[in-house]
Amino acid sequence: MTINTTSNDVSKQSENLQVPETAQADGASEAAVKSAQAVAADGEVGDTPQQADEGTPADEAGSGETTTDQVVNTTAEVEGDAGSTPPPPSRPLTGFLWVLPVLALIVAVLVIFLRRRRHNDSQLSEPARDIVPRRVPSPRPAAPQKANEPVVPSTRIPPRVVPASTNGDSAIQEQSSETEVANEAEISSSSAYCVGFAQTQGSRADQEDSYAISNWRDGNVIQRQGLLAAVADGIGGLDDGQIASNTLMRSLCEEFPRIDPDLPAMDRLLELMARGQQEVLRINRAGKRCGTTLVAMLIQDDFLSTLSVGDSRIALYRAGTLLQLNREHVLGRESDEQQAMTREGPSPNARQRGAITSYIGMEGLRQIDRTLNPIRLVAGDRVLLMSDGVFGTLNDDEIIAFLNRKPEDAAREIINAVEARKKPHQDNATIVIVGMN
Amino acid sequence: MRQMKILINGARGRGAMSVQQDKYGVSERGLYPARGRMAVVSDGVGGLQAGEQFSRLAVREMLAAHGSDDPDRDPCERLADAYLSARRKALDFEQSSGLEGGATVVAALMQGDECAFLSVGDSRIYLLRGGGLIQLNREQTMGHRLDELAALGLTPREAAEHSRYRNALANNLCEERDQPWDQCPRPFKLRDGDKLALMTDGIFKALDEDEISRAMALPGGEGARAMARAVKERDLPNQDNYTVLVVAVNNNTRDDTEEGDDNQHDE
Repeated sequence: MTINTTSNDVSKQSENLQVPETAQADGASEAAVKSAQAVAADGEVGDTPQQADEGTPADEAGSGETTTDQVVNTTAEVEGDAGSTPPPPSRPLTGFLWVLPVLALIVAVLVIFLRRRRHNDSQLSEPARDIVPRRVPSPRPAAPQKANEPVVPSTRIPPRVVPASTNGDSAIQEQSSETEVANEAEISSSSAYCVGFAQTQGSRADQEDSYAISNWRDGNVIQRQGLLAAVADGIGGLDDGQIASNTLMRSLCEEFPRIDPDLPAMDRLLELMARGQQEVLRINRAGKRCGTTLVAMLIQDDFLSTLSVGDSRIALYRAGTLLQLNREHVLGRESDEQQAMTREGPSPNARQRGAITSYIGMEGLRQIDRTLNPIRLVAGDRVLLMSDGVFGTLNDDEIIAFLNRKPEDAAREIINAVEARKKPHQDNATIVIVGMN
Repeated sequence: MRQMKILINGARGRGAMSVQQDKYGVSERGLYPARGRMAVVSDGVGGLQAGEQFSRLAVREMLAAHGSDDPDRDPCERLADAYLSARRKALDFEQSSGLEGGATVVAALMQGDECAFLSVGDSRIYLLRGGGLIQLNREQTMGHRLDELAALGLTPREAAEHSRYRNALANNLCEERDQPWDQCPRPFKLRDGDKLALMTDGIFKALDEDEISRAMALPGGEGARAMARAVKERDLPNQDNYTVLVVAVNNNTRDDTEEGDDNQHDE
């Protein structure tokens, strides 16, 4: 599972952590943790450094991530650390030295066996704690995005999604009656979905947005557990919005594979939200005062369910138009309703209107918005999860202008457009786009 | 703002009930395009006579508000005010008549190339766009609320699942305490080919979404009649009253608006 929780806050990068060079090889879940803070919450250091040999970093299809340079730099450092082993002592051969290579062979076999077993156990989206935290270099100020400069990670794995309808697929299906077992994995491994994600810090001192996406490339995984995506916007008016959004996304990643996949999608979303709420509350009860919005989607059998708390947005792009799916929890809207009903009370000013009235981390959270009836997706649909840094800068028409592209391109171009606006006090902006092929 | 061509058709049936407590209505053709077009469906709640009177009142008062309000205001605000006007009249009527009852309301206001919707209770509004069906509103029933509270640990899960109030309305026109209604956060753009369906639960409890979708996709004014026919043919025991209005956005029609035989405020 891919988590992006970017941070430039020096004070939070307290641990010297190591990261595997790769997080995924063959359809196991992807979990690229980019924030030392988010990783510090994991508390595990130096776990399974052997994972460095497995493949390439997991931030491959997600364009527009501003911390890519950190990923690349860190990878180079880890490679040297992970690869070194002490040279064997030089001793004259004795009668018992033949035991050493045998023992080494046994240990190697055990390690391989245990690694494979753990991958099989958490195939859909690996909990974040199985991903070795990475060492983060000394922080440096985030370079402002240049206008029109594509924000593309410097390490990129080409997507493994097989197009849904090609001659190759037809040929496979024709053969399936003869070689059904052999081809079945091939047919069902192709995913019907493509994903793009991008974000920018804007003019803010910290990146308080986070996002998470489950494995979208493996059709088997999606068929079994669905496709989960979420965006969280840490509330700046409280303390440590970054901690809240990171914690929530991490909780989603860890809990998603643990919840019974046979439960209805909305029940699973509710459960994920509730567990995330508990995690953030735990932080608050320990003395912090933080909160975050949440917009989440779960696609199961081509049906979309959504859940929302706060003022981030979920929208469906279909047939050239954008339809907002969620109700935002903001004071302005609720005040209008209250005033209309009672004709009483002062109207909030423009600034107050945007105040969030429900958020994850709130004691006594009661207001949740969700789709009560899953929406069947059709080919060409795009589902957008956005923090307010996106739609607070671009209007619907400006966003729509990019949506006929592949999601990874669209996400990147939308964030580029946000940056190009050069809006003073530009908020953190994050977008995740899930497209149905 | 571009004016869309709107075609509205409705159909309803009594089902196995002795009284028809559903009502539907559409704003006068002459008010379009200056005031937009409003469509309202209401499912009466309460005793035999009460439910019918409250649903009739809901439709009448909302359409009356539509005909007299400021047409330049935001469609969401116009709908909200129309609903609140109907609610106040309903509460006054409840007090003066001694009747106890209420009604659900689903309403849509098409203005220019935009649409706003409002919903109170457990009726539904669907949008058929690009071949896919989307339920636009959030039904206000106790069951949904209980599930949320249970997930948050604010009520025992088993109590929520087995509560006898699961199917009870969490809000209706005559709800004693002011409750927020469900409404779109802002008007959404209409596109040529869109279809909206406003319906009471007698329809969607008898037909599944595939059937609803196929009916809505029928050309002209056939969709509403097709759904009503299908419910009647289903002949379910204890079939509730059923009512549906289908709004078609179709710029291929010759007139600005066309309406079918069933476009009446009341039957």
